[in-house]
Amino acid sequence: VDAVTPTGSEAFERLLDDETPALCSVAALLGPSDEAFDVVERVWLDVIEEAERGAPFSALSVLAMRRLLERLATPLPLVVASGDERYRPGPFLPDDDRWAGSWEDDGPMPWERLRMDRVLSEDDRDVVVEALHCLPARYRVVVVVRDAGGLPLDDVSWVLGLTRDETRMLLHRARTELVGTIEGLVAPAASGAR
Amino acid sequence: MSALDLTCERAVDLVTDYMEGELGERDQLLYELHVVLCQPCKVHLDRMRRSIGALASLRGGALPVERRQSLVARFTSETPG
Repeated sequence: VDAVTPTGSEAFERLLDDETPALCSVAALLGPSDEAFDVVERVWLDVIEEAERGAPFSALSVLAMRRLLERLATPLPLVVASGDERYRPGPFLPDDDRWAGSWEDDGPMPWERLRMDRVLSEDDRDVVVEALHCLPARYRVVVVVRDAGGLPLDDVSWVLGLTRDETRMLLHRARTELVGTIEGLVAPAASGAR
Repeated sequence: MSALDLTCERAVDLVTDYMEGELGERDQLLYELHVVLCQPCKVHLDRMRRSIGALASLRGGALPVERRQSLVARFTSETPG
C-alpha cells in the first residue's frame, strides 16, 4: 500500500474525514437513512481490506463509493435505455414554424415566482428528498452520486460501470426529471399549466 | 456567431454538458450567448443549478468519534507499515 508508512494512518484519517460525509449522504438517500452510519462503517471495513490486499491508496475513495452502492444492493452497471426520457421541458415551436425550436409560450417560470426558492432552505430538505424518491432508481442513483456525493464525472462513470457518454446522458435525464418533479411537488397547479 | 444559431430546444439538451464543462469551445460560447439573450433558457439553467445546490446541501455528517477511532485503529493494524 503506497503512502501508508510512516504517515499512513494520518493519510487514512484524512481520507476518512474527507469522504465520510459524502458516503453518509449517499447512504441516507439511497438506503434506510437510520442505517447510514452502519453501512458506511462496513464500507470502510471493506476498503481497509482492499488496502490490505494492495489497492492503491489513491483509489480508495472511489472504491468506497463503489462498495457502498454494492452494499445498498444497487444493480450495477446501471441500465441506460435509449428513449427512456420521462420528462422533457417544453413545449417548443414545431419545425414548420419560423421560430422552430423556441419555447412555445413564456417558458419555465422562475422558482421565486412559484415560491419555490424555499427548496434551498434546510427546512425543506424533505421536498428534495421526496422528489428524489419519485425518480426511477437509475436516475436517483446517478444524481445522488454526482450531486449529493460530489464525485467527479469520471469517477461516477467508474462507480456505476458506465461509459462517460452514458453517464452524461443519464445524469442529464435525471437532473431534468428532478427539476420537473420538484416543481410538481411544490407547485402542482402551476406545473400542470407548464 | 449568433444566439439564433442555437434553438431553445437544443439549449435545453446542452444544459448538463454546459454545467459539467463538457461542451467544446464553440458550443459553450453559443450556449452562454443564448442564455444571456433568452430569459426562459436562463430560468431553466437557474432551476438546474438550484436543484443541484439543494442536493449538495444534503451532505451527511461525520461518523461518531468511537467508530472513527475504531476504523483508524483497524487500518493501522491491518495494513503494512
